Amino acid sequence: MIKIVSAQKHYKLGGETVKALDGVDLKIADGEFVAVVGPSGSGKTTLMHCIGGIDKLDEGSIIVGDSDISKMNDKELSKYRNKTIGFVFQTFNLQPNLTAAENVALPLIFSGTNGKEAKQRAEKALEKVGLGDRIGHRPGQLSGGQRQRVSIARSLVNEPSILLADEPTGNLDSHTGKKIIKLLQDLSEKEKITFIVVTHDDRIAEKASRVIYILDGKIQKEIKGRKKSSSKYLD
Amino acid sequence: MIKGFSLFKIAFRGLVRQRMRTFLTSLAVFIGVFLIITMVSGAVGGEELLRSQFTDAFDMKNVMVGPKGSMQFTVAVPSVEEEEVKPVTPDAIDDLENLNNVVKVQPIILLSGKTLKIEGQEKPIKGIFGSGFNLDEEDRYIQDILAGEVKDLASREVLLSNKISDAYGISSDELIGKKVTIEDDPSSFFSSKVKDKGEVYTFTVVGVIDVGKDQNEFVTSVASAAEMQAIRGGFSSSDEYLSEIGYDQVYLSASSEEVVDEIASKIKEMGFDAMTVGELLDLFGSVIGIVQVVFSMFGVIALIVASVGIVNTMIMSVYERTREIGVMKAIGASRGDIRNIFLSESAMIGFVGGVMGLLGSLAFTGLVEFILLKYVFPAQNIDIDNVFTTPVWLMTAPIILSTIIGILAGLYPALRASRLNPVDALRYE
Ligand SMILES: Nc1ncnc2c1ncn2[C@@H]1O[C@H](COP(=O)(O)OP(=O)(O)OP(=O)(O)O)[C@@H](O)[C@H]1O
Ligand SMILES: [Mg+2]
Repeated sequence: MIKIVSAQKHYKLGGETVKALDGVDLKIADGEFVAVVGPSGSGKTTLMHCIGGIDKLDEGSIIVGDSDISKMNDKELSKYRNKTIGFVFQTFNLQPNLTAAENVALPLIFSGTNGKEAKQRAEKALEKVGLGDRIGHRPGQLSGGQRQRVSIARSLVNEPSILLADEPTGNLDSHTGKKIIKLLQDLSEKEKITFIVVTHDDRIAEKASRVIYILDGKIQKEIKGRKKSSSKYLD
Repeated sequence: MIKGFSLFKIAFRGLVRQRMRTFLTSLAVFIGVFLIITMVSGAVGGEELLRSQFTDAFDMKNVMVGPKGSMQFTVAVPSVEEEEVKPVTPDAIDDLENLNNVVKVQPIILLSGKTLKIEGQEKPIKGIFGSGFNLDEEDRYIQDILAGEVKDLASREVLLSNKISDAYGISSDELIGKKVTIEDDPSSFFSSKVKDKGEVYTFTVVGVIDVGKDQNEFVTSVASAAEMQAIRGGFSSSDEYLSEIGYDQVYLSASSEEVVDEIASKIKEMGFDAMTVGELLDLFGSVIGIVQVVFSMFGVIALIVASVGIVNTMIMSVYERTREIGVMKAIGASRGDIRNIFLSESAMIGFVGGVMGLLGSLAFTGLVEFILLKYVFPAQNIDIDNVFTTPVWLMTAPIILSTIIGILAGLYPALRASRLNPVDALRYE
């Protein structure tokens, strides 16, 4: 269970204050599939970063399970990011000098797993995303869709309970994007992982159990159930 | 936290990615470590070289005696009140002979700035050094008797060094019985006070000796030398010369090494300078020590420069990898992990530079030593079988030092990397 209570995140730029998050209240149940939509600059990425423990709220709290992540120190936070959260970025964010398997193994390495075990588990994770034959390739030798699969394998390798994906298909063609979303959905459903995805693609949003529409740092509306008409909540 | 070996691997990958930069950065470390190891190993060996050369040429039972001020190796400060220097007179020689545990006293008169010509040869040899020095054939001073014999020299008899026969390109045997003329060389620095050529003396060669590295090219009896100096200086007799000017040097042999220092201090009490071979060794040893320190300082300076290079490289690397650092943090790297990754990288730069420095130094000193032992020393008759000594501590200490320097230099960049805010780093383009 993720519980966000009156979250505030402001940025000061010059004399102006940008309210990236302006009083967000949100509850997400375990195993839920939530889509976050909204126009550019509305605060979607900021929200994901805050849930993922990468960014900190100015005010309010984010409670995951029974711990308040806005009160965690660096050590606890890094452990939280490592064990509880799996993050998939729009731009993949793989380390260019490491092979696919090494990239996937990194979260395990950071949690103190020994190299041999990490390698085995990374290879298994790559097999799950259909890249069992690409373990030795470097990101530069992979297509966009393949890179995103590596990044998905990396996000899931440490068996997180929450999977956050910030426009995971944004850099992919629609066909590949569809396959990636299907993969993310299948994997999170199978492992009963809470899956939150930011997207501009209404076909993705349609598959979610709930769609959250954000505007100017506030939740504008929430639509539940799978029978939604895309034009209602997408810009 | 990352386990040690994985940390090493990640850091290694980071360095390999910027091969050229890593190499160039550790090159400065290489130079520093190379200099330190080479200089120190050379100095250790150099001291051994010095010691063996000394014990070869000098007897540890010897004491060199001279008038006060003659054995100072520092630049003399002119004193306002010129102190009367006590000459080493024949009476003083008697006193020296009467000291306890003294077995042999050999007074020496130095004859410098001479021109020497051998009967039947066209050209004279200029700038000759000689001495009046009563030798016997067992004298340590003589490395080898090449021709003729070494005996009590009568007046007008002379021993020549093999440098003379070498200079003329004739055999030592040919020199025996030949007449040589010796006169002052007015062009020589040592006889600048002499206006004309002065007296010409004719000697008969009775022996040719090898005096090793000593400068003497001829040896006459002390009496002959005193006679020459007396006439040259306008004294009425050799006795007058000796009682006023005295001998230039005295070689004194003690009965054992243990009493040498005691004898030297007694001689100093008598108002003369005395130096034992041990003291001379210490003096040269300390000069070598200074050279060692100075050159090692170059190495240390190179290492300081290298550490600035490492700081620069690491700051650049952190800057370039800002986004990657953000990603690593996002997937669970703690501050400590990031810090350790960058510290390991800078430590490795230091370590690699250190190892290169050691290998470079071993190769270089090995080559130099090979050349010295194979070509230079045999020609110089130097009997030494190692010049550079690189003990284990000298191999390990500089590498440990360069690694520590790497770590220290990486501290600031690594802390900077570890404190990067993950969001800022992720949003960094
Ligand atoms: N570091 C920052 N400094 C200043 N303003 C920032 C910073 N990060 C984000 N913002 C601002 O906060 C607001 C929300 O940004 P955010 O990235 O969350 O938007 P988004 O909904 O993800 O947009 P997009 O769909 O384009 O990715 C934007 O107006 C952005 O300009
Ligand atoms: Mg965004």
